[in-house]
Amino acid sequence: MVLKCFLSLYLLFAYTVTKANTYSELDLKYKLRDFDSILEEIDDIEEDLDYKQNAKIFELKALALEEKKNFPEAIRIYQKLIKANYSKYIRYLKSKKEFKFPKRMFFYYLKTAELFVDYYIDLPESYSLSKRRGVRKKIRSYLAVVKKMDETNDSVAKVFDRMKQFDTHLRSLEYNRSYFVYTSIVSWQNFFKVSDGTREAKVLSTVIGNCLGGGASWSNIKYDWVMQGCYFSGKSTATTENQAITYEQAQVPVSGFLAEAGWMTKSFAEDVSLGIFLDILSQRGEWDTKGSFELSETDYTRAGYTLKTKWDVSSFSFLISAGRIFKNQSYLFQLQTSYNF
Amino acid sequence: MKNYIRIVSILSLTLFSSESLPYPHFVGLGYTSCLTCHYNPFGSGPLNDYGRALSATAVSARTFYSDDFSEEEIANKSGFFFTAPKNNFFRPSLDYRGLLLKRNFGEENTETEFINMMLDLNLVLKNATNSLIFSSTVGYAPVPISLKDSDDEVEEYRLRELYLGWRMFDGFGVYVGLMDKIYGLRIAEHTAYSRSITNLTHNDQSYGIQLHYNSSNFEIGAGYFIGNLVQEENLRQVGASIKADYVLSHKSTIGVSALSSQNEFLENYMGAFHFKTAVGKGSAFMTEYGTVNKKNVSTSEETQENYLLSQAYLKLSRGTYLLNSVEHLKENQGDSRLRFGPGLQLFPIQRLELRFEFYNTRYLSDSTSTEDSLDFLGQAHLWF
Repeated sequence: MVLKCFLSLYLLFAYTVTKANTYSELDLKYKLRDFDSILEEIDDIEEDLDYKQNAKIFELKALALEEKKNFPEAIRIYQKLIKANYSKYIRYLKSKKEFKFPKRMFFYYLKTAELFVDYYIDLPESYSLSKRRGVRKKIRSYLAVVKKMDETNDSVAKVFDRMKQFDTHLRSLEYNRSYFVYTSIVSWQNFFKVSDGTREAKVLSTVIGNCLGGGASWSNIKYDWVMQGCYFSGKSTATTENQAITYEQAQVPVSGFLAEAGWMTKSFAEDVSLGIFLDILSQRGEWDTKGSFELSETDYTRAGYTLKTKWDVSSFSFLISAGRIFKNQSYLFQLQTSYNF
Repeated sequence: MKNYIRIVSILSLTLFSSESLPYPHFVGLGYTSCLTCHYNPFGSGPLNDYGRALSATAVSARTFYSDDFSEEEIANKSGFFFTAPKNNFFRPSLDYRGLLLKRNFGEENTETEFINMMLDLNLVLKNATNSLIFSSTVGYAPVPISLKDSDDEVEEYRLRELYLGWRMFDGFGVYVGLMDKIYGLRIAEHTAYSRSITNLTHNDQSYGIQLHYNSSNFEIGAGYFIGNLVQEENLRQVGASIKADYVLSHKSTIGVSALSSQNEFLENYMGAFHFKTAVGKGSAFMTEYGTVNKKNVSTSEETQENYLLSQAYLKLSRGTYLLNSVEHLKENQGDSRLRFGPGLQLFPIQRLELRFEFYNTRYLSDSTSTEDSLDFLGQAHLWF
């Protein structure tokens, strides 16, 4: 009997010492930031462990998972630790009476709230707003619990501030629609054809004028999606060069519209955007046939693209654009000033 | 005079010295005054120690430095030939700029040319507080295309700077000698209309006296010049200029410039408004609008030209800038030119600047329509 008792005590002692050694070794590895080894070793022995007796080892696992940014799994461990160790206190959380909760329980709830915030911040930016709201609700519920457990603790306010800061960042990622009006100087070159009935020649038209219009943009802190259009009124000088037919006309009224839709990134600087737009240019010109000539391709609607750089200064934006209108000669150039409402 | 230039050239070559060009777009980094980085308060000539350290750290990328290498260590390598200055009074430097020019880019008649644009040797002698400086720059200048077939002997080396500067008291300095004239935004592109039609390119220095005053919200410079002494006396432009900038905030300035000069044949009157501002962190926008009136003294015939320069620099990352230039020149006959194009400016490591730019020039005339010309410019700039 004595021998049996001695043997049982010895086994219990040996078990305790072994677990204590295991914890010490894991703790050392944590300090050495060898998180992968910690997770591997605990996974190997997890079946023999329980959340009540070996809470410290599980805490280490949760901390290692946190370092590895596996926040959902770390949260799951803290939730299990709460359930295994403090289930009898949970009902007091709903009580209106003041109650002194164990410090470790407070720590587990605080860590869970913190990890939810980490998880929330770590979510991809494409994550839907409704799902984000779900995570935010959980954070608030955990923070409410933590606050009830210890109202005076600064850590709660810190976690709350972190979430609020991220919410502000998140709001800046939300797209807001705004409208603007603009005026621009725009210029392009294109060829049209002139024929005297037997011969045909190309006429180079250089156009410059003003464009007045407006548009809408859907912007967040990183990107702008923009649609804009303007009515153009300008002048053209058109001449043939070294060709069989001589045709020239200056100061020809040209009008039309320039519609553009595109995307801009503000990745490089908050007030500066860089983007690419698809353009549709439609022009009508009042060139003279000079009695005997036939003109063709003077009026057209053509597509193209432009690259834009935008500088935002207060309510104004300044844009420089250059691009191609397909079938046109050379580049379309636009210098734009916008007023944003 | 030629012998004198040779002596100074040899002296400067022996002592290894140099020049650097101004970059007013560094207003994007919060520098509204040229004096912060240059010995010369109007932005021409060599960089001072602070300017060199800044170009090595805030301006140039860290591409070839490991994370262990601190900014301070990089700054310490920004002196002459990768060393920290060993004394307070002697600052030699060396500058080179080469240009690969492709005219009519992408066309059948493309012409490619490589031009050694600049090789400048500079020597600065100064006191410990930089309140007294002597700067001399001798540089190689390629023979202009217009003079290549000329029978006249054209000097390929020229004295670009030779002046004595004295910061007499806080904010005020006097400079006497051969310097760039004070006028407008001192941008590096000497072919810009704002520099070419004003005759203020990289070879248009003049002897004279300049005064400079700056305070926290105001900067003013005025100068009287008598022309370059290597020119025939009757060709020297003699006159005065002034430039005043008001600092709107720590990151933007607005200003005016005026210049009047004349020689036996030509009178020049010009004025400009200029504005530069930082946008975001490191990006900048600059613009200058000016008018130039030239009068032929013998015929009293006058020409009037107006120009607009807009340059926008977008800082993509440290050491990488996207540039957008727009220039407009209204010529005397009523025709005008519109020049625009994007470019990339890289500082991959301290002492190396690479620029790749496209310039599309459109001729806007009331009589003829001319196809645009597109030029590509690739530049390498080294300084030691």
